[in-house]
Amino acid sequence: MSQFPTYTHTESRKWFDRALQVIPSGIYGHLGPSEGLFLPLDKWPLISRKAEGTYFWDMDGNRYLDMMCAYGPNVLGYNDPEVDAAALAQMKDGNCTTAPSYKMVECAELLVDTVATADWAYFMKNGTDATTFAVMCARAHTRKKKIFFFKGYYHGNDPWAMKADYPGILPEDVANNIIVPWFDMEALETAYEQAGGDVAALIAQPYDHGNFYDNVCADREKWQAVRRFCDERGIVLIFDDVRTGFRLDLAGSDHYYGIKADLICFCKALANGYNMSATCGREFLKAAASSLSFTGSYWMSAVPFAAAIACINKMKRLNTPALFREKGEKLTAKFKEVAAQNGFDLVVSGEPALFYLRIANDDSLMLHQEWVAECVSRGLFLASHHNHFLNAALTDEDINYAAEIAFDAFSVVAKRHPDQLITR
Amino acid sequence: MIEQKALAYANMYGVLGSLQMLCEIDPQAKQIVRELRKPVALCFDVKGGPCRTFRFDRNGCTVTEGSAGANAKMNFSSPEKFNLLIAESKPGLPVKGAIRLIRFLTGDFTKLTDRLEALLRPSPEALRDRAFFEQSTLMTLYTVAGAISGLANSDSIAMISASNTPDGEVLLGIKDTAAVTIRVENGRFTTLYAPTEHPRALMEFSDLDLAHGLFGGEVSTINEMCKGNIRLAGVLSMVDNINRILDRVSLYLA
Repeated sequence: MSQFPTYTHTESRKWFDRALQVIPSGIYGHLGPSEGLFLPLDKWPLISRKAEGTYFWDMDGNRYLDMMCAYGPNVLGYNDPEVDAAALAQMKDGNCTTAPSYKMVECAELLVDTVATADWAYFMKNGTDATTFAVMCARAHTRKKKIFFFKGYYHGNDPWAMKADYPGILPEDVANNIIVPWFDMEALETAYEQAGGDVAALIAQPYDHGNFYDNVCADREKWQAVRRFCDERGIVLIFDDVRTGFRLDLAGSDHYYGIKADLICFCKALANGYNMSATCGREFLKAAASSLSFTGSYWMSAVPFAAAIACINKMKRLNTPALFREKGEKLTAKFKEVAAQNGFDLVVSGEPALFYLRIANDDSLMLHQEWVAECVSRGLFLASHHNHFLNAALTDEDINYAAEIAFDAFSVVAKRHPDQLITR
Repeated sequence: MIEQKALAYANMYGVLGSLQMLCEIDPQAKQIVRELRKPVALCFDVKGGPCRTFRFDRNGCTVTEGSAGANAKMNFSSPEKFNLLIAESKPGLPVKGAIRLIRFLTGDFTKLTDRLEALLRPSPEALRDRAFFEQSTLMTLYTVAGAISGLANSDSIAMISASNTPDGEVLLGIKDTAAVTIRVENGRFTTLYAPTEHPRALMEFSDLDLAHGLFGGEVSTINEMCKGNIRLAGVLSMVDNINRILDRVSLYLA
């Protein structure tokens, strides 16, 4: 007998049907049913009414303990009082103004003081803006064309960052992309020679946190080898810290791995949900950054800068990377424990702050998707294909609650599939 | 952009490849092969392209790779020449067994391909007959499924999707009606006209009407997924990549 009743989504579904009439796919992208893999659809909340701390509520009033954190932006907890107070105060003073607010300068100074490799900061709105800027900056500086990527890469949605088989993408858009296996120095060397040295940058996330497979953590030696490779050839090293930024290390994930990237891109955790992103860089790239024609209507709005300042200061005070490591380890240990109690082998991979889960009893992820759906429909919001995110509002009580729902969901799936369980 | 070599693979594995299912599910096709006097093993050999042998006997049609066992052979000097044959539905002349088999090519084989064309390019009037509608939709499923593998192994864009598809078997189907299997091994695709028992991923349309609408481009795949009318499960990066190849199929076989 399930301890937690499953939710119904009558009102949320009505709103989603309205959305389908006027918005392509209803909800497009990673927050929607298609990319978010809402399998089956009726188990998912679709549309929310409000959020607070580590929870959000759907249109039917169902509450969700959120392990996705809006796919990263919620780093301190929804509606964090300090961040919101700073944003509201700034709103009264001015937001989108002809002369940008002094808050922009303060925000850049704070980033330079916080991020180890940063000598300057350039602001925009989304992760894609930040990575696109970084690649343009590298090309402007080196006057070279090709960009190295590590296999399974994701650096946003601009055409250069996608693949030739995606709808709307031309082979010409990605003609200068060279893909090599993660940390394969021999492959990098070969690719460099084949490109005739015409390589502007290597862009990578700090470690392989791709979808649908166990995430693979990196180490200092591997990154130091890549750093040397780039230094010896004048290749700009770009860290895409959009997903991991401020969750592994407040000084940047390159700092976590003991190196200095030349450019580093931030977005998600930068301002606790207020819309902004940033690329920080080293002094020698400042002139190239200045030379770019790259701006946007809202990129210098002051409210997000005020929010980012409050957010970064609070993350420093809380030492969020250490907090996330501790909470992530505690949470995933409990998940593994309740999985084993029900006959499931739950594999946990990636950094604890951004843990990835996979039930290994079958090789199709179908059991895993079933378990995730049962968790979501009982109020624990997980993703079946993607790494998760933690926020600082998550308490030990919440972790115990998550484990109880996980146990309940495991027991429901176990009853349906007795032949697929591991007996000890 | 359509590549002629890839189109030859789509035609060979998609259009002609579906002949085996035509002879299995279509009463008219069944009757045609049932009246064959002798088995015929016809090889289509495309220079710089695919080569497959289609064996017709009273039990139906089976297809094998290469030319082994063929008693009639048609050589094509280029993929373009082969594609012209499919586009114009003209059987051409065999280079091997010409006299013995010319009657089959101009008679029974033409009848089969005419029937296939009627089902794959149906008139709106014909589709009003429910039985015809269902057969047409099923044959489209089999054709599309064959073309997925044909293009995955030959089209420069589809090969990118194929190379990013994890190994395993994907079930594509219409609920309670029909299913095919796409087998993936090191980026090479093979279509099997039967459901796999161990799918790593599956994509199942709720009914024939939805499948017909999707194949004809009348309804949106994403919209139907969002409505819950397409069941998805498993390693969906496999399905994602197959969907990208499906997009290429619609370009090639439009």
